Amino acid sequence: MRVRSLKVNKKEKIVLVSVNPKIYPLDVIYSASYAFLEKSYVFLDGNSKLVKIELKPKTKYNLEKLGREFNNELLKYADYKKRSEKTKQIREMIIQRALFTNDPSLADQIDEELNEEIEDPEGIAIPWEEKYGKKKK
Amino acid sequence: MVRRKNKIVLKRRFYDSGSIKEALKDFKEICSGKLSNKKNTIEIQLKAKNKEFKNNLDSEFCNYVLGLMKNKSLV
Repeated sequence: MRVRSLKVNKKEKIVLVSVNPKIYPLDVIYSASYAFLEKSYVFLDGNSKLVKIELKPKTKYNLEKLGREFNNELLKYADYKKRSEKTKQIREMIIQRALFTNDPSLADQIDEELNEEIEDPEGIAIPWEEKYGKKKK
Repeated sequence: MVRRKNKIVLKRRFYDSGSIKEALKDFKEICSGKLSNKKNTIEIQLKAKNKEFKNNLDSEFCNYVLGLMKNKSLV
């Protein structure tokens, strides 16, 4: 199947990926581009209505495959962005809770509570060593 | 890649001017460069100091700028 957003230029060994920024926002395009920096030369161009990403592989590589992989990467980061926005509140809650438990004032309070004398009307709170340990001669 | 009279033309919409300047500083040993600021674009003219570095210099430069932008976004 042909992908309309891809233009392969075999002569110049580049593939041009056209992206609508309304579908994939600019930060998603950046994320996908950053992921491709190692295997290809990336060049961004275009306007507010259409972003053009020029990819030139650093080593011999199938150009159409490269373009399609870029499209996949766009989808991956768009999904990641959507999920991270959805889970933002819960992530913040987890971090808050983690920071809350590390509050030194709270740790002192817990220490104080632990050091308080516990009522033992049955007399069962005797350390094992005291009850069964060898008696000193 | 958009070129005008042997110059790389980078759009301000996509490329951060601070990162371009930083990249130019980092490329000092490999090439000399000139920046010219236009309304919506930044034009960069690179001259390789050695023939070895001539190949893909412009592309490497653009990739480097994007790499710097990535690092900035992580901080």
